Amino acid sequence: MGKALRPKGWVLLAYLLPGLVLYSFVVLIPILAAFRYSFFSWTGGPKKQFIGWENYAEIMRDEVFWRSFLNNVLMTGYGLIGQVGLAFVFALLLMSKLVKWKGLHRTMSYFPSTLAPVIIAFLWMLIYNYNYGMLNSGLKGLGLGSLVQSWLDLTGPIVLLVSIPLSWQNIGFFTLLMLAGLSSINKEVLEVAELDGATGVRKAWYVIIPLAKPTLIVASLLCIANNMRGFEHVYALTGGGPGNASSVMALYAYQSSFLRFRYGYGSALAIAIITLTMLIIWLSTLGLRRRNQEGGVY
Amino acid sequence: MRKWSLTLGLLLSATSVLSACGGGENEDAAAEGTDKITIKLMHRYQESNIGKSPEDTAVLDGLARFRADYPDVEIVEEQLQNEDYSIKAQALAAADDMPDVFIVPGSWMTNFVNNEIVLPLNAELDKRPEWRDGYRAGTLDAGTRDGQVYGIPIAAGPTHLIYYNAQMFSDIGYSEFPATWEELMDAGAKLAEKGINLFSYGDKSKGYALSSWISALTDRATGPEWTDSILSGGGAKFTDEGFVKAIGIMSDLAKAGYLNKDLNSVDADAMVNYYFEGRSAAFASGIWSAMNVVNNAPEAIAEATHVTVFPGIEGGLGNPLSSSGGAGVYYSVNAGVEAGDKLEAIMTMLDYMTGADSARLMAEAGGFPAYDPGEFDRGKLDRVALEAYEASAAADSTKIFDLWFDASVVEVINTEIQGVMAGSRTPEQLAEETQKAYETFLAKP
Repeated sequence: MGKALRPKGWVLLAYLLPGLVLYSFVVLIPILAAFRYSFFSWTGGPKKQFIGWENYAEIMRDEVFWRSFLNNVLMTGYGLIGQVGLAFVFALLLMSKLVKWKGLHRTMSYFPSTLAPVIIAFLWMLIYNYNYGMLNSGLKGLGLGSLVQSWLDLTGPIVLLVSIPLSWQNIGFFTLLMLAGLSSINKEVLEVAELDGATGVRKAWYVIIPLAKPTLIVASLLCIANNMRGFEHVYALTGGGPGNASSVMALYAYQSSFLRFRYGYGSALAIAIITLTMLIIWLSTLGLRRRNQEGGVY
Repeated sequence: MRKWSLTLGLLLSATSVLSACGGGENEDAAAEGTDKITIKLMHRYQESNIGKSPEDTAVLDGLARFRADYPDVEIVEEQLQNEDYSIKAQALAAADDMPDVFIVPGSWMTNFVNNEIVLPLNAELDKRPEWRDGYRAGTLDAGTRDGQVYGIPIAAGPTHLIYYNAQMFSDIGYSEFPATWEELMDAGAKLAEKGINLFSYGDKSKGYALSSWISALTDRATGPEWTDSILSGGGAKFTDEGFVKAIGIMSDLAKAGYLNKDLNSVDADAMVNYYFEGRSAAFASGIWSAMNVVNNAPEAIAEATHVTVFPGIEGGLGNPLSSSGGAGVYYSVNAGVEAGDKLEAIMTMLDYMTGADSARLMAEAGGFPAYDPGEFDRGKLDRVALEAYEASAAADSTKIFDLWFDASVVEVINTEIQGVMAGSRTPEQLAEETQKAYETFLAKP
């Protein structure tokens, strides 16, 4: 923008002020308040007792919190495969000549993204249901009656089972994102690649992936952020159960504050979640960027 | 032009800030300006439940009668659903912004008393001895701290009763409900052969296990002294044998496969439906399920249904006829309300909502009021409801753990028991985790 057209600093600020005020009111101030509360032993009334770093020391020892953290990481892993990875495959399929009715497929795959998480959870609760669930009756129909399970009561694979509905919901969104990224790849490059004999998997691996890297990075970061703050699906589907098996950090913080009346500790957990999430996003940005630059050399 | 944009920007931001803060103040000013007494009431009884739930019916009827008799008292009422109520009340309590009268579950009481959110009501109750003495023995206890009464109870009644299908038990050779755990396990095996679960069980919403199973079972094993010792910090431990044994019984039932397989992923409604569908021969639940059986069970099931309690535990110290019970939920008054006309009006309103007339109505509708209704028209009650009422009146009531233990301990048991029932945790592990939470609670009063 030319200097003559640029409004003065204070005018810009004045324009931004309403937004900034709202933002600080609903985001910054609560975070700062949570940070302050995290130094107190507070059960939710007018009485608070300052205890310094005690809450944070307890977090370090809190097995349930770290288990929840691991579950978040696990969910992120499943998410990267089930959401970003599958979405990439879907996008490639939708770009290829093999698939008919592309518009229909796009709409159908995006549809779950428009549903509320609670509805998704309810749908999947019915699918997983032991007596009437689609999954179990499907297994019985295939003659695999021995595999019939009360799925949401399994402690082992519960995080995977909770991640599947999440992927089901978000895959459409990531597919759209990928399609947008892929369509920006120069058609001529692809044609040349085909002339050189690069088809199918080879074309995807050697041509499309390097060119679509920026999109893949953005999608991965979005997916990481989404899964690290995941709450609704787990809350509605299992409530973190059985026991703590599917607990996630946000759910645990919610339970500590609002079910156990430990607002101080809950605030400390919230701060820990922010810190850990930022740390993970920072680390993954670092990792992805470096690989991106290495790729750029070729 | 530039000046315009600045003024506009500032104006916009100013209105957004002012409108956010201004609303509340205006309302308060308007309320105080008039002579009329205004009572802000927030509770979890709902119009839509009238006729379905005895408590909602009786309490809201009392409120309507109060409104008719005292037209110059304005009541600003907010009716919320159970879970919504908990969330909203906790947020308001944390912000020190509770209404004048509100519902407090017994498990919150210690916290609310420590934080001076609730008003002691002894002086007011002493002015109305007839009303005060009408409550059943023990129902005021969970709302009392250090001799000060902070809550007016509404309903009482056990959180543990067994509703069982007598037909199914007689088919396998039990003319009565099994009287020992050995017999019960034997019945479980015989029912399992026929593809029927001994009990249906639904703990998805966490809390069911503690209120309908663990409280009553533990008391049978340890006796009430253990509970009192835990509550007073008198040295009893969750790792004590009796508590572990009680959890062990539940774990055994789950391991043997006598409960439904999806026990942690269905809620109490699904649990009762399994019973209605004939998938299970019994279920444990509170008195509130009596009306559900009366209203919703298929005729054949309703006819076969009888009501009892768990058998005693061999070598246990508790009364085998007891059931966890007493009042669980209270009306409390905001600590900010001062003695005077307003408090008078509030107490009268609470008398209307929970006292003699309301209690009679609640009993006639199939509930178990905290206020002893004396004689009431039992003819209106269905057989199952009457059986539940009589079992409740006969049972020696012991403490409901989720109302008495601190919320931090309750949460741990609620979570761990799911693991135990799923088979991924042992009763001993549950006991250790609970003890840890209990010690944390004792260390930080």
